[in-house]
Amino acid sequence: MSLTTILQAIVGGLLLGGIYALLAAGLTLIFGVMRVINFAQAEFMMVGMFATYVLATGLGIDPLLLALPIGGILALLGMVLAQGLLERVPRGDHNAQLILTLGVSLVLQNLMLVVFGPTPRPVVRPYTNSYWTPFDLFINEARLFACLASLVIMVALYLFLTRTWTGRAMRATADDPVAAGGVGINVRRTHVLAFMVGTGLAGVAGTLIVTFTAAAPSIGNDFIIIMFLAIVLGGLGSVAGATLGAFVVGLVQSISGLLLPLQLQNVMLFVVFVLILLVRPQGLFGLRQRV
Amino acid sequence: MTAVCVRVRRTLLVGMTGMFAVGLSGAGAQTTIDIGLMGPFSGPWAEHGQLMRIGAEMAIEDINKQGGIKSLGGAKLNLVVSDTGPSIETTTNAAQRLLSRGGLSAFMCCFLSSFSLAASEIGERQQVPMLTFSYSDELVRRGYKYIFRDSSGADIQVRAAIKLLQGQAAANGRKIESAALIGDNTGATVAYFKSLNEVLPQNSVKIVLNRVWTPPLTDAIPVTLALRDANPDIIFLGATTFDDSVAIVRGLNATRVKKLMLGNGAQYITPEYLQAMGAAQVEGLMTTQGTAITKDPYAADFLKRFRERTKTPWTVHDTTSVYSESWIIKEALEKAASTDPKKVRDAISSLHITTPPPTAFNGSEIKFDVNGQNTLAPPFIVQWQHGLPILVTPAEVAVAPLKWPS
Repeated sequence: MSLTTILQAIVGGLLLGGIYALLAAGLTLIFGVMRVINFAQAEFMMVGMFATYVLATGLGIDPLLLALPIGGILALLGMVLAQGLLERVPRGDHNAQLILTLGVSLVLQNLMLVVFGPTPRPVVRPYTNSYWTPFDLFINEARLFACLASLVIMVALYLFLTRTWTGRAMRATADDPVAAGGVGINVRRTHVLAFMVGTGLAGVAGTLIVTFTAAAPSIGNDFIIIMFLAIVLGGLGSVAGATLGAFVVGLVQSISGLLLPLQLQNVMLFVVFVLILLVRPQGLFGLRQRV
Repeated sequence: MTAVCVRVRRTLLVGMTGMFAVGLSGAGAQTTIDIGLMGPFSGPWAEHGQLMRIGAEMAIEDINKQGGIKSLGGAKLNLVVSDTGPSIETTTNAAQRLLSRGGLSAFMCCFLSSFSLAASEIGERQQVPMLTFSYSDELVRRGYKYIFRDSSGADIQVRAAIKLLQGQAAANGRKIESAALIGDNTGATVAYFKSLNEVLPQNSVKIVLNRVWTPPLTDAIPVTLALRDANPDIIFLGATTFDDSVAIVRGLNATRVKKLMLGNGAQYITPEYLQAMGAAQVEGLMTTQGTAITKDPYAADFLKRFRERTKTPWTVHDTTSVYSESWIIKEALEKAASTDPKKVRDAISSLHITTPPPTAFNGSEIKFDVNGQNTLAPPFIVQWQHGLPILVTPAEVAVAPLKWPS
């Protein structure tokens, strides 16, 4: 096995991890603040992909320019769902929340199936089929741009959570909602805001992913397990942990393809998952450093 | 009160007598006959299910417009659709639900070989005839009585493709001595690769690379780099999902692996595939098909109607196979003069169809052997030529000859 092959696998894993990170960050933020396991997160990404498809093919706008506007639209959709549905479920009733988000996921999937049909909808840009080839490596430009955009957004999210009053309010609510309410934080509004940020991030991820993967109503199924693996690996509720978890998932998937038959790629992922949880049941960043 | 009761009783009696009379006059003239269609209408293969459904709907409209099943008093066909979903488990549940409701004379199923294999178990158990165009040869090698495949399977396709390609290679002063097999682990590809593993060594072709994955493929580049290192004369592609089939050919172009390539199904020649890849990237790529739009005028007319209906430029074997199968069921119902699935099964097994519509898409007459395989079914190969998927073999019904990649 040549050094180039190993480097190619590492680069491929990092690119994958960068994209997974954006998805996982939104999911873990929602869990950390609201204690809601959002099974519809991948479907918000899928809706973002279709929204990008419509605007990119209809108006000719580049998907990368659409990332923030579509993130905003998905955040608004998140607000409607959080206020209209999630906040009406009694706090702590995890079964109801779980079934509710699962229901939202099915509704969104089938709605897109009715509106767009089952045909995959590719968004082809000049960079979709282009490759950057430094040091004999092959890096798909669409994946590279998606990963870089994802990293920029992750930094912005980190700054938002650590440097702004609203971000700090979210972290306080995540740590102790009763105490947060006691110091004047509007917990209900913070919950809705966390859900908006989470769904917005999924929408942004959708606009980035659709540049190299076709939009389809069932595309979320390919990502949802990966998202959950990343956030459990990183420690439920920790954005930094979810990011690290996403990179671990990407790298394990990519490198295991070198050492084992490709069919065992995801088996290896679960082996690593179990091993990490055996050593650190709370995940890499669990409990001690939430949000 | 008594008068009211008498009036009600009289009205009921008149009504019941009327209903009885209508029942008698309709006896023996069934108005509709249910036939089933199972396909993936949701999940990663949903596009193909939708194409199957269009084929079935067009056939049933045509059959009903032409007077339905004449031997059953002009009874009309009614399509009962069932979604296999994305997995073998969901397919099994769907088949159980569809067949246990009763009333189906026959059903068509299911695009993906893995799904067809699962549904065939239930079809055989419930004794309802099933028609399929799935590639896996296991479908017609288990001695089942109720499973019929009207098109060619993996083994026939592989043998014909190798014969054709080696002949073409010789004509162009080349040789095919080595091959690579890359694809997912779904039923059709497993069958395709199984046949290739047998047939390639028999034809002095060495397999230099074999890569199989569970879909979706996370990154195609490591696979294409391995292909570049292995340097085969031909690559057999077995990716069945849209994204994987796009990613692998995109990766091959990126790593400048320019080889003879043969895929195994419709996913490589859909309009969306061309949209995602562009004409230059797919030029010369070939794929196998169970049925196709042949030179037959009936097929040309069908394509025209398909275009008007769907506003898409062409179709693939998902549509043409199910269209053809619906007509085969129609012929069987005519022959059986009964909707009983057992009698329909017997009729299918003794059919010998020599005229269109089915022959316009199957490229041959249709006659099933004891295992349910249409023994006359030829293999079809379609090749991208200047942005269009062109039928290049068999020669008798091909639209244009195969172009050897420069």
